[in-house]
Amino acid sequence: MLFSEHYSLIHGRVPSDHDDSSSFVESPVGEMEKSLKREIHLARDIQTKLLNGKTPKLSKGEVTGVSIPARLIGGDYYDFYLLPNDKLRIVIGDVMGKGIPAAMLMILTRGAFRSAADSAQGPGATLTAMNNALCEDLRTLGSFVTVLCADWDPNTDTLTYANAGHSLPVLIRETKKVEEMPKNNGVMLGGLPNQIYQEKQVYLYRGDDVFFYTDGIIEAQNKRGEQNKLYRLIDVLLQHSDKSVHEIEQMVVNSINEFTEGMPQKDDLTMVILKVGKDKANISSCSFA
Amino acid sequence: MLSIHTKNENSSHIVKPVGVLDISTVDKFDEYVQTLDSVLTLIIDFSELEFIDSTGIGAILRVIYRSQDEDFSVELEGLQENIREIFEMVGVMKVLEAMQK
Repeated sequence: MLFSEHYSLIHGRVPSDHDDSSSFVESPVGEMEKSLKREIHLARDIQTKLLNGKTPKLSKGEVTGVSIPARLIGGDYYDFYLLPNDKLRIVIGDVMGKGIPAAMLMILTRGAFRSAADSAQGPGATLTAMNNALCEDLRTLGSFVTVLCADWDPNTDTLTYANAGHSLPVLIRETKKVEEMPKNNGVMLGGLPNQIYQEKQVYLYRGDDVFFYTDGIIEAQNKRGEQNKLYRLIDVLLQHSDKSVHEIEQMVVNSINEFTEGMPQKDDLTMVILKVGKDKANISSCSFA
Repeated sequence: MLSIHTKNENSSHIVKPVGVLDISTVDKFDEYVQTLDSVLTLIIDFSELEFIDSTGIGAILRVIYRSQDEDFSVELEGLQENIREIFEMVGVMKVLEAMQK
């Protein structure tokens, strides 16, 4: 194969009529490829900006979230919504599938949450409203979304949560003990219409951490095909539970990087960490950073 | 990565996905399921399935929805503990129960 032919195959360019290597013109395929790449990067920018938006600053605790897509764009989702009286609504979700199709549905899910969060009384009603909004579309597309929604109320020291098919969070007590959250399994969004999502509640005390995550965190694989697993995650959380949420987040990311030894991952990794503040006397309203 | 073993037993058609049912193999499963016709009972045997991701779960759900549209029954058999736990958590068993009523 001639160099010029080889070049045209790799870069989608063909020689011009003048047979002059300096005057290549773009082939339609090359143009399309360029345009597609540009659009994917724009889509990634939109998703990154929407997903990693403002994190609320809390007067009675700390919260952080991060999502690392396995591909250019992903289908994981987390979000925060400030409620009156210092309450915080947290949502984390995982759209079926990967890449661009999952990312499109993730944006739909975000819209459904934002609309529902404003008017829904609690996390159960939020998931019901989200399911009502999304069910028909998801069924048409043969897809679904798992979502966990939780309201933290620092005035009553409670975390109330409802679950549409998602993994339950890990609760690490200030005493460095892991506690299993009461089971609460509702059907995934898009599974069945007209679902009522039950709410469960746990008490949270000063120094407690709640770690919300998507399955990519515990299913991250190393070169031998072994998975990170929940027990490894819990070890890291116990070891660093007295640190800030940002430090814990970094420790979890580091531990996954160490475990996976640079192996490209199949699934997106997303986590949200809530830490109950140690200074309960400070009562000021919440604000977004 | 995924092989699909099938057999007919009495009035049931048994499909056994062997290996991994995830985004890289789901098309093979979907394509096979599309070829099924005039089935009264479809048994999906999970006893040799090593791993299933959300895309694989989506494929199982699509079969369950189709069973309602085309009026046949679906049974999930040979569920290992880890896969049963995932199905219970995500809500697959509740969808199946609701569709077969």
